[in-house]
Amino acid sequence: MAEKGVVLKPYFKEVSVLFSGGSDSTLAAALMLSDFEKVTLLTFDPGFIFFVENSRHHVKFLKNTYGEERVEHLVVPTPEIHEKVLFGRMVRDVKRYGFNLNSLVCLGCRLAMHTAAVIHNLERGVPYLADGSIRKQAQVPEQMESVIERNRLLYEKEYGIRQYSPIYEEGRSDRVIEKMGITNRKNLKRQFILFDTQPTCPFGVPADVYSRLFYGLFGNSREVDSEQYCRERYPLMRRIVEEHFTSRDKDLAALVRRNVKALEKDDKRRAQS
Amino acid sequence: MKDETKGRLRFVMRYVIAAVMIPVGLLMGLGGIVQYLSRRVSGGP
Repeated sequence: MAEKGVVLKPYFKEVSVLFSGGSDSTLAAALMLSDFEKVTLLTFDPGFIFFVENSRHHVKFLKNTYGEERVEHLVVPTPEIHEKVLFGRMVRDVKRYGFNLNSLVCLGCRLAMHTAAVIHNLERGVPYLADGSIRKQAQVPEQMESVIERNRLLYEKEYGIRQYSPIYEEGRSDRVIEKMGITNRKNLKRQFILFDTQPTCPFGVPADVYSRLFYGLFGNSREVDSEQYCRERYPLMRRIVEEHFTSRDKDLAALVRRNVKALEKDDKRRAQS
Repeated sequence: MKDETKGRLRFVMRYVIAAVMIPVGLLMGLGGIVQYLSRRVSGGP
């Protein structure tokens, strides 16, 4: 593990991590800190989740372990983006997906967070984004491999942002962060509903029950719905990003070019090392 | 509020919320099954 504040190998500059404060996103952030000089932990607050402040719990452990200056934590309010992405087509969604929306709301929420993360990364000139998705939760649409791959293609192609899910194959991130000394909580994976170190979503329990017990019973509905849902949301996400920069008189194309150049430069470094 | 008290409250609330929300998920699931079957029968999406 990297020693506090000491650069052990040539780091890439900065990465953003979608950060709930749970063991998965904490481990993802810790792994990113072995390749990047700085990690910005992005916790999004859509306005309908509880105990957002819990996400701060593991931040102090990451800062103590890797250095205060290498870890930044931002809580970003995103009610407008969530309103548009998640609830903007509610009538059509109910007609099209019916009860399956129980699970698809989590995908909509994740896409709204990605939209906010894309905006953040473009503003800061950060071409990397990571999250704590894991295969063990692939029953939930936003953590399905096909969905992650589809999102990854979009972000790199359209915004010059490369997306990683560095712990996708890890099933017990709680044990790993215990061993790494970046938590004081044991068996975090056994917690449910009201978590010690991350927010609680009111839609979480029904969504989880629906995804784990039922969605898999409906043929290939989960795959078909997720593909369709993403296809419907991408134009909306593009529009939100464009409007954000247009309203601030910023040249989106120039910001994307900056990220693409940074990626090309890093790729050359990778090839040489 | 003390951390210990918060922890106890959280422990109790966890099961109270679970007792309400898990049946909601199960009901939705049953609705999903009915929806799936009726769409198959009618040849809908």
